[in-house]
Amino acid sequence: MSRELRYVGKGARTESGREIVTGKELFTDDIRMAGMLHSKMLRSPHQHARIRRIDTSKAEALEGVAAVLTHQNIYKYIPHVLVHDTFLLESETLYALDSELFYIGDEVACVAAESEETAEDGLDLIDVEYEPLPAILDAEEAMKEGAIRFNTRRDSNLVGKFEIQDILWGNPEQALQDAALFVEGKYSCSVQTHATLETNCIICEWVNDELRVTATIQSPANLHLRLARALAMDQSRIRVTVPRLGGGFGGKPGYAESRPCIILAVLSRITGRPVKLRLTMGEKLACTHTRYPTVAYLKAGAGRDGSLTLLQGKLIANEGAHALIHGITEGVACSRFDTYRIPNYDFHAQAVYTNKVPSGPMRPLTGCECFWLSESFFDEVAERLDQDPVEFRIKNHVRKGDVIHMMFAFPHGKSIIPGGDGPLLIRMAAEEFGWKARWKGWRKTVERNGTKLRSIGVAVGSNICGIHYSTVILKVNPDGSVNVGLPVAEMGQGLTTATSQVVADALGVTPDRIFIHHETPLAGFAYGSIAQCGIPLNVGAAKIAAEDAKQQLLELAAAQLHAKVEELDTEDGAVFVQAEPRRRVSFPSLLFSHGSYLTIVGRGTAHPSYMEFHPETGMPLQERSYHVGLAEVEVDTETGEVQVLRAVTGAECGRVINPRVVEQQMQGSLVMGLEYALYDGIVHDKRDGSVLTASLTDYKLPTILDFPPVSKTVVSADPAHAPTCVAYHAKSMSEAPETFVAPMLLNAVYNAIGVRIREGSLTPMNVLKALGKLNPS
Amino acid sequence: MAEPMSSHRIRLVVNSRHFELEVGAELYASYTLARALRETLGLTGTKIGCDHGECGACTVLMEGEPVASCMILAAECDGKKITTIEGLADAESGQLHPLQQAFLDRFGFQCGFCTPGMILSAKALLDRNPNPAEHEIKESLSGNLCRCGNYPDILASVQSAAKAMKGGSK
Repeated sequence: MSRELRYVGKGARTESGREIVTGKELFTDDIRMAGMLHSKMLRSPHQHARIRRIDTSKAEALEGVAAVLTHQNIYKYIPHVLVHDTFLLESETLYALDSELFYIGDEVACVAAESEETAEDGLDLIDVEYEPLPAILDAEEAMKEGAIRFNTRRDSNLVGKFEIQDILWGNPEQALQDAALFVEGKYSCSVQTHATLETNCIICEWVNDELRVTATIQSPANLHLRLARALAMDQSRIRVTVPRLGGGFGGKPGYAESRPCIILAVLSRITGRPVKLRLTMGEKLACTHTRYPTVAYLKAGAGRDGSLTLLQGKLIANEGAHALIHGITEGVACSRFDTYRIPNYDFHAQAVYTNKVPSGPMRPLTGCECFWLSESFFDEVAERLDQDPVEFRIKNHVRKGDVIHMMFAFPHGKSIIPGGDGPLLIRMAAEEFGWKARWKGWRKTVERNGTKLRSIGVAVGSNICGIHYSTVILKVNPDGSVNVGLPVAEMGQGLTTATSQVVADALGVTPDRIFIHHETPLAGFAYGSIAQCGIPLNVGAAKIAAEDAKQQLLELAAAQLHAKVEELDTEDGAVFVQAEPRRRVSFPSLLFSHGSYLTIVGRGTAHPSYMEFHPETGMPLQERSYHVGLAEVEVDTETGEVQVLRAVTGAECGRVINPRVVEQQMQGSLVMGLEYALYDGIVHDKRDGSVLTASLTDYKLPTILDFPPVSKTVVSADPAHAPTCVAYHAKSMSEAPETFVAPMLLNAVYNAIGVRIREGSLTPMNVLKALGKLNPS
Repeated sequence: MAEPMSSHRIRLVVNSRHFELEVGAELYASYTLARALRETLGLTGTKIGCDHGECGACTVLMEGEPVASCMILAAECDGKKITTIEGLADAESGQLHPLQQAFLDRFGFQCGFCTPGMILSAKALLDRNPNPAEHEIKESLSGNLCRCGNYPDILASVQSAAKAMKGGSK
């Protein structure tokens, strides 16, 4: 059955291109519905408060206002239940609208009106009496005994107490005694946010008894599940459709949107009209989730030969006022620190609630935060060992067959790496960069230009390849065209293109005959365009579905072509006899039989690697994508400004489905990571936790002028590196490429100025402080 | 405020089509040009990102110059000639403008949300400077953010269009 792949591996982008360059592509905010109402949210001005009294009568009386929802009336229409489901062990006390408010920007009420302008006028007419409550903002303070509670209904600010948040293996105490070298440090990172130019937008509409949701979400299936629970409806009567997203990066996950979506569903039900909500950029930046403010206390031990022997650590992540996916933060954070082989581990991660805007997933969940901290730290360890940082990483990087931590690997928390070769990738990228010739030693500049110092740095990154099952339904229509129900979003990452390429090859049709639907329920559950699910799970499931459909077509054709199924194959929408390619029958001819039309339905379910087990140990497998980056920076010691002069970034892809998409993901991640490392990021007001950087003037994004003048991507493309990935052994390529960028730049700046910045980003102010040119306060 | 002000009409030429719109009836007096294009004329190719003149997604050409259409009141545009992304391809044949073709061929987009504004800023540049240096392209596009960070491909797309346009097509 194996034949040459015609579409996989090629660089064309097939999806929506013409629509995009002509402005015809409809994003969610572009959709117009007859009689559509517009809504606006009233948001809490307090970091923690109780609504003592709320009077909406004046707003309701305003001409053009159709309905107002608050915690007082919403539960006439829906059950008074928790919104969020249980992700792992415990569910969270979170209601669609609540009388207790937990951060500045929390939802108080929602007004639906004839226009956005009228809805906004309605907000001004809502009279609320708040009772301010004591609040807590600092995660480490919030962990202390007797700390102020962020939520009066909870008896602790700790997000959870789970087994998955601890790694304890080997004999850490013994390792500590035996270590030839011991290094410790405290690190904290800055706070990045998604700032997608398309802000979050939701439209809810009822058609008879069916709720139709059109929304900017990366995971329609996640939202679908939560909506059904919150509204006490069957999932079969909720349709969630996702138009193309104007960027995602974790900022539109689907579970964060369940609260506003429930509110809109009720508003639409009671008004009998479609209702839309579009966040302003100010709301997006100030009221929706960001990366985690994270701090880590790390200790490492190493032998004389430069091999790591011990990691002890404590990581504290500020979860903010809501855990978007309850209990996941700590578990995922734990699994970020074992990119190196370390036989003795004593690590604890804790997420802590505070009265700050929620933290949540961003390319990838806790990934850039943890690699910022760990790769800064391991760089220090390498220096103390007096090892070349590239060689240190090659020596200690995990390899195929190694046992690592894995949160999804219940109950033992351990898993085995089934493939991949991180050290090979590091060597390839270092060679391309010319590291050996350029490296002058620790804290050595490679060039000096007056007050400007140049040096180089390296860091690695990684992420898992998807979570949860993904189920795809594929239909071959009587005319031979193909529909694929893919319950995940296209947001520029090229998933639609990749799916078309894979389905075209697996089914034997041309990509132009394939149409992909991003909606539920006519597709199965999938976790979404999240956690690097895209290629291994969503596209993987599409491939299995295509093969299932193909098998059915071959069986139909066998009789017509008087051949055995094994002798047949498909191409260009026809089944043919391999030995005699001119003996063929087209799909439409096959699907019209006995005067009747027939439809073929293919079904595919892909599972993540951790649902497969190592034959000898019985441990789950854990496929990861590996990345590395090397950069040369120039630091102006007068102004504190950092310029990235060149970068080589490396990716281990398994098979490459689309080389251009891989390149685009690497480019985009490089400049996004550059922003994380060099810019201020989200700045919270120290007094009340509110976001001060609530516009794109204050939250600076990189422009075309900020892209490093020289950058190159090195790809290690060997299908054998991704043994568990079903989409022709292609690994994920969407989130992990950002993980190494910030520490790569931090490490390069360290070598340039000789001082390590362990707190916050490489802003001119922090660099000047590090150089002793500014008062540290 | 949503209050309709005393009735007055504005004339716009959008993509060579003439419109006469009544302020207070067909558009709110508070409507920016971006909202009038999207809400009143249904030209949703003009995207609203930040709505504060910071991101460039809403860029259109006014008398050939790129402007942030979210920063101008529609009522102030009386008599102006506006070009939006919908007006770039040949209306009869549907043939793409060389910039559109280049963005399509050279992967000048990822999510595509910034693309209309990006293409229009690039058009204004190439109309006035058909042979721009790399730094001139970057300067001209520095007000158009691409959150996907697709800048190298955007640069390549504009360079490729500049080359194609020297062939005489406009």
